Amino acid sequence: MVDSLLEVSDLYIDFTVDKKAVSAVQGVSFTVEHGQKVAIVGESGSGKSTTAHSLINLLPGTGRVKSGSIKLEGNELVGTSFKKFIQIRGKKIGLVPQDPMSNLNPVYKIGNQIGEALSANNVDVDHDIIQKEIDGKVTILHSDNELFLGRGARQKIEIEVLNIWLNEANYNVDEVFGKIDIKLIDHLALRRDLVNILQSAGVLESDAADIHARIKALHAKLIVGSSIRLDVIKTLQKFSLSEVQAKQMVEKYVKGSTKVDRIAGLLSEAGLTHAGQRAKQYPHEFSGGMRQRALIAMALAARPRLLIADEPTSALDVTVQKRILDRINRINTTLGVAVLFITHDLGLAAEYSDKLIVMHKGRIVESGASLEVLRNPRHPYTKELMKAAPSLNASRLVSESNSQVDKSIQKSANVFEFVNLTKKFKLPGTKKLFKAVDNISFKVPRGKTTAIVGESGSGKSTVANMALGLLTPTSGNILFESNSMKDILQSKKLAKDFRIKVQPVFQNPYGSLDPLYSLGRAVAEPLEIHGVGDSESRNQRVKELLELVQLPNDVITRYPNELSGGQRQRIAIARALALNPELILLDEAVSALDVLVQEQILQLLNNLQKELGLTYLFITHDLAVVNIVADDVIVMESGKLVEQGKTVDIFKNPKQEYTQNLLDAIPGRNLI
Amino acid sequence: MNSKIEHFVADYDTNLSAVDQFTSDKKVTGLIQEAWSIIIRNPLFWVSSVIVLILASMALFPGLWSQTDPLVCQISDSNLSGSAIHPMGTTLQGCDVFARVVYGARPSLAIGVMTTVIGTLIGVIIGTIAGFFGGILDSILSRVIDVFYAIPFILAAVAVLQLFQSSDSIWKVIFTLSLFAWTSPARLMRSAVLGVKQQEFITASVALGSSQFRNMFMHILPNSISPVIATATINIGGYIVAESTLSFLGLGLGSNSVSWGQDIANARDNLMTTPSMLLWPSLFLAVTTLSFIFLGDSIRDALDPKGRR
Repeated sequence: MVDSLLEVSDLYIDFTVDKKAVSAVQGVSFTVEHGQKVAIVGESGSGKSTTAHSLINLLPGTGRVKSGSIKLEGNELVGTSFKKFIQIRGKKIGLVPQDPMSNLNPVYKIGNQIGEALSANNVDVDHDIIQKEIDGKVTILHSDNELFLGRGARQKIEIEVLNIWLNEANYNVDEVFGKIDIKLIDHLALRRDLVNILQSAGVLESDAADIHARIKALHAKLIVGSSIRLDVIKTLQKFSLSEVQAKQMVEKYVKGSTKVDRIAGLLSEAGLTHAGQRAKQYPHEFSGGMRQRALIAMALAARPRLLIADEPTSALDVTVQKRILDRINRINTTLGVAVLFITHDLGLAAEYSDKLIVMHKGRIVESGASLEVLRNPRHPYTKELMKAAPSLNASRLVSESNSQVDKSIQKSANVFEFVNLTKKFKLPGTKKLFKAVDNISFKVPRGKTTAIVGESGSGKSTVANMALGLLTPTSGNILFESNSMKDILQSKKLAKDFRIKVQPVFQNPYGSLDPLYSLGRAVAEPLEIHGVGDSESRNQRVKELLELVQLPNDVITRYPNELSGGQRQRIAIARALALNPELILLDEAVSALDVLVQEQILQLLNNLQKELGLTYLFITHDLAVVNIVADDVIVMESGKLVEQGKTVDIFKNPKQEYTQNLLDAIPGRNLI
Repeated sequence: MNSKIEHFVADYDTNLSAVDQFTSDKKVTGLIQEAWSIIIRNPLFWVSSVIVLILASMALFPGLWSQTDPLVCQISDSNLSGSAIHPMGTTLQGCDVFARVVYGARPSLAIGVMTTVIGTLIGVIIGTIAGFFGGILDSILSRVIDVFYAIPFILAAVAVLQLFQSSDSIWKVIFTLSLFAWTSPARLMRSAVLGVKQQEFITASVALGSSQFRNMFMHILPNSISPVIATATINIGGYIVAESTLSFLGLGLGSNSVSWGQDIANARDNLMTTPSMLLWPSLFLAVTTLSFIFLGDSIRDALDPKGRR
């Protein structure tokens, strides 16, 4: 019987708060086998990250393993000295941290930082360390077969392959090469004008084009600093070379890589294109997804046996998330690295792992094969999580109708109409204009929820700010209840009316309330600003509003720092409702919340809509949420409107490829 | 590796409390109450406030501490060391050192506190305007701040005080110090306002329809003032030192008035014979300055936004 890669048993972790021990993890036991993908799922405060950090002795602050055991390949880690942990971090266990934006040092080039990961672990950059399970035993292979392909070697191999192919196509190679400028020959295989050069040397156009295409395909497969001899032999065989030819060539040329090549190789393993050039760039030149890839490359530098991915994609767009997770998946299959995902997303966990562990309040409540747990959840908590996960639910929320809306008053059918809306920003330091929103038109029908969905940089927030009158459009028009926004902002009376009828709720529950205002005062503030009622009637109204958002009256005298994110978001909603608005603009209003809380808030919003006849304009990046709350969807991509229509239609039958990609990127969507 | 994964389910008795329920077991704590609860646990705060209170009582009611008139000196008592009548000895002119030190607290504290109040007030106003309105106004005000910052303080103070040579009032010193004291609070306030201005609750307030001025006074100002208050307290000590420096140079208060700087300057010549003449005013000056620095530090720790949440 082989030891498990990781065996955690009966782990207890305490934090010291105000001199009292607070238990964060209580008796957690699980195993990770070699090459297995395990996901720990839980809400914030469930102890999932604490468990993961204890594995590499990186518990924050006052955290301390109280009892239990963590065994890595049979060796006990609890109580191991700080020095020994240095050997384990990076080499045995790699960590991909949560926030790609703050985990790279901005003053060093990406390549240097990966190089640091290599030298910190004394990694041999010539060989790859490959562990294989042979007859149930894990063996480290360290032979010439694990030598990396170097940059010069690739060039020479490509020229030689070119030779062989020309020969196969019945050309006299010496004659052909004799006609080519000697200076070009070394770089010949990579030249864009290879077809022309070969043609001028007497090769038929069709043959030349064929050879060019094949050499390009071969070039893409041979990755400097990442492909080892075995890979190169296999690749060459796929390109119609005999095994003998391939082996000869490999022995002649593939003799290990330089550190620079190895860094490039690691970056390409993590899925970055043009890795060589990318290594010379600084973190600020990278997007969030690219930074996360660089961090993955760093974590993989010393070929760890276990990769801990702590919410690796929660800061990224869905389509980027999918690419990163697919890449981690591939690393798992090709390199045999076991992966421990830490995530709050049940769908993601199920799609990208073999085994799923559900944690709640420091305990494991359920664990098992991912699909089994997903299809047949047994613990009430897991069931609740399943019910709340928007990605796993296909239908819109329903609220019992309890409408108090007076339908006798005639109102325009659409609250907002956006007509050919364009917003250009001046790029700093240049005279160039950047189109954040590019000629979009849509309507927001009364009493319904319209969602604007898009990834970061799609212009959705710019639209939101224009709808709130915080930004003026460069061209085009916004009609609010048939009045043009321009007129509204110019007339005091109309502007006041507009500010009453349109209320925002923002994303960050921690930033959207003034920390110095008691909650009662925060909810009453809109009434105060618009001079509604006297202080007594305002107090009465505040109580009513708190009841609407299901918070007790006790909170009136309290301050925002005492509330959880979800509770703060309720206060923000109460504040928005204070003036009986027509429309509430929800700008990523539930994105920062845990699933169960998110579901509650969405249900609350839905009930309020039914009850008060509200119109919602819902700005979000999360298509899964759109699916359960919105009636109409607007899909935006880099400032342009890609697709619009009824939610049901778009989810069933997306017409644009971009929308399809967004839908495919929702993790776990196709599992149920 | 592909061995079967067991399906484990914990006991159902796991406590599933209602999600996100508001529990009101804690005492009500606003940020100010919270800051207060932090500050009263800081021993440094208590030590420094007690010293500051003692000094304040000396400044307000010097008669409580010493019945001797610091200006009535018996030349026959010249250069005495400590005794029951003169606990800290006497000066060359035979004045009681203890009385001089007690009476010297008033001008020192008055100058320190008044300069800080005036400088901070001007600084807060200018910094808020620069940070809130931005644009050209910000550029102009920031350059003005830079210009004042670039002037060597002592040199400029010497030049300004030359204009008031005839006057003996402490106001000339307060005026001179204030002329340069407003720049750092202004800078601090400007950057604090810039930070708070970008927070979502400000955008939320604008979208609610509140006016610019309401926003500035009701939200931005209260949220950005705390670092300014903390550094202002620390600065009080600095201005007390600045006053004694000026007096030492003979530019501060006139030679007829009692102040620590004046006494330190006078003691210079007799350092070898009566070191106590130098020791006591210097000690009072150092302890006062330190107390204000400690007080400011403990206020800053309590108001530190990073400690919140």
